[in-house]
Amino acid sequence: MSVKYAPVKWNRNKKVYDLFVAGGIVAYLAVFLAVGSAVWAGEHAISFPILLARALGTCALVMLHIALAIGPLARLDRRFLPLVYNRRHLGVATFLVGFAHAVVGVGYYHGFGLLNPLVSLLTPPDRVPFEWFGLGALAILFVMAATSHDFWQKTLGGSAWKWLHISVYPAYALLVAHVLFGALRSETNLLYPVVLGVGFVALTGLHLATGLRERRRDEAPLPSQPVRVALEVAWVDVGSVDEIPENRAKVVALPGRERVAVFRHANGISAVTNVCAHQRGPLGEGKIVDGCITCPWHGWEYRPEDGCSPPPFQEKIATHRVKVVGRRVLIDPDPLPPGTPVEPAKIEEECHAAT
Amino acid sequence: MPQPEVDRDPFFIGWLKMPRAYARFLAPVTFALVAALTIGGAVLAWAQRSPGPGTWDDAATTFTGIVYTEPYAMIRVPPVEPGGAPRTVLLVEEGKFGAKERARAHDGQPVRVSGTLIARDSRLMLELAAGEDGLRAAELPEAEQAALRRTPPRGHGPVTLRGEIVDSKCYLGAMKPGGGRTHKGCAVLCLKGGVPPLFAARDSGTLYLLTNARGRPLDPSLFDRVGDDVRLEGVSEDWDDLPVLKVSSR
Repeated sequence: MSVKYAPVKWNRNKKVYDLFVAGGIVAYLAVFLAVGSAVWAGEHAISFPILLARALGTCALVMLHIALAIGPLARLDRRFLPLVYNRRHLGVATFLVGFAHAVVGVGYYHGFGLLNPLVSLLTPPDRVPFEWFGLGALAILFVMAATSHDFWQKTLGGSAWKWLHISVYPAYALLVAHVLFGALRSETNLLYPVVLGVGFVALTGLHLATGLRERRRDEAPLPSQPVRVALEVAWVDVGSVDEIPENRAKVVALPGRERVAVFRHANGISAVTNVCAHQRGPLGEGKIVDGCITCPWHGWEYRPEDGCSPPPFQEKIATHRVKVVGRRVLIDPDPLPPGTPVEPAKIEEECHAAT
Repeated sequence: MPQPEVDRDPFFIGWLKMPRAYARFLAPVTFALVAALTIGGAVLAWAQRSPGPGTWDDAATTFTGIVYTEPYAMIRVPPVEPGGAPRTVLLVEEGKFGAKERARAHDGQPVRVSGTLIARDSRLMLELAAGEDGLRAAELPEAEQAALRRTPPRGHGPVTLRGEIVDSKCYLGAMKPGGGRTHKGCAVLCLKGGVPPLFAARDSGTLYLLTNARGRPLDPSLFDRVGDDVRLEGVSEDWDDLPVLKVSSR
């Protein structure tokens, strides 16, 4: 979180993260170039620019797989959450490696001829110009990299920004097509289609597993209304206070509405939207730290009692009216405007629990 | 003694020190990931297909012989060893251009050419050096000229061959691999620039110089099929040491 925008802010975790990203890229490229030069040497040597383009291209594709896998992995196991924290740097690095691949490839294959390299690139002789798929993917990755800064997230609005960045999936599809219609029609070794297929299946499997898990959670029926509790019409019983660990939340899916994160803290219950104002991270998977709901993705903070970030920050999220009857937690499914104060509902003593 | 709350329920916040439970989990995971990626990079690099045996010399090579410009620029030069057959060397410019324009004024005349030699198997090509050093008129005794001049083509009749149209400069060694789908854009540029087209026959591996049915430059409409697996019909001939396919149809 910040009250002003800086080009890049690093802390120890980000430095370690970026060190791994940079080290991984350098190690991959170095090994690819070294092995490629050693295996194909002498009169069978592969031209260095082609070897470099292949090293950069495969590296970018691998990086994109990792970037796409981090999200679902973190939903399945929260210990992967630190990888989400600086995922934007991984995304920008993926674009830069892909861009380097494009520069080398276009320069070498489309340069030195009658036409401007870009003109040659845009007037391919093929019915299925694999270069165009790559160009489309690169354009998307560029827009994502260029708008990755919080300034753009704030300017575009969280929802628009999120939708823009979900276009990473079309970019992935375009890259797969780029490889299928390009390299895989030239290379004869079965290893390449197998690797691409394994990557696709792994990513699809991870996303499906995550989606099914969330769906199961969302579709878990809300408890039937206790007979002895006289309910006002709007209130929804979302469960018992005993289901919610201290300083943690229960995420409730209400039909047709955003999920609600119901937090337990300091002998009280507060309910806020599950969607972080920053990058729409899942607040309900966060924790109350120093009295603030803390987003598990990037650590943005909100006070449970009013959904406002602590001063000097100005972010606000929607709150929900909440009350506790016996041990039952009741929430108003209609969200209040972001930043609306709602007194946390006090949890009654255990001896008052309905049985 | 009960654990402190932070240890019982660790939570990662980016700007704070990473909880030990997270670090203990992620350290081996990330190291293993980087190791796996480097091993994967090595395997992917190893599995690449052979680009073929073409070479592109660093040092300059000089020939003296008779230059021809139809259908493409080429020079007939003396054999390596006395008593052998003269060799045909295709000529190209730097970049993706043929050398027909530069050689045109000397068509059928003795010249001295200099540049870098590109070779694949027995097929030779010279990328001409810039300016006068690359190509200039030369003196050659009449008898030597006569020995180097083209002889009438030896025909082998109609053939149908399956293989790949390639641009000679890249395929012979300027770019490796100089064929296949990923190279198509480059090959089309080369052919449009006047680099002679070759046909790499799939079964025999023979490299044919491609011309139209009358022995003139190949119809540019075929350029779009470069890099594809195609079947060509035509007449096979030997122009001295140069196999030629005079294409009659696709």
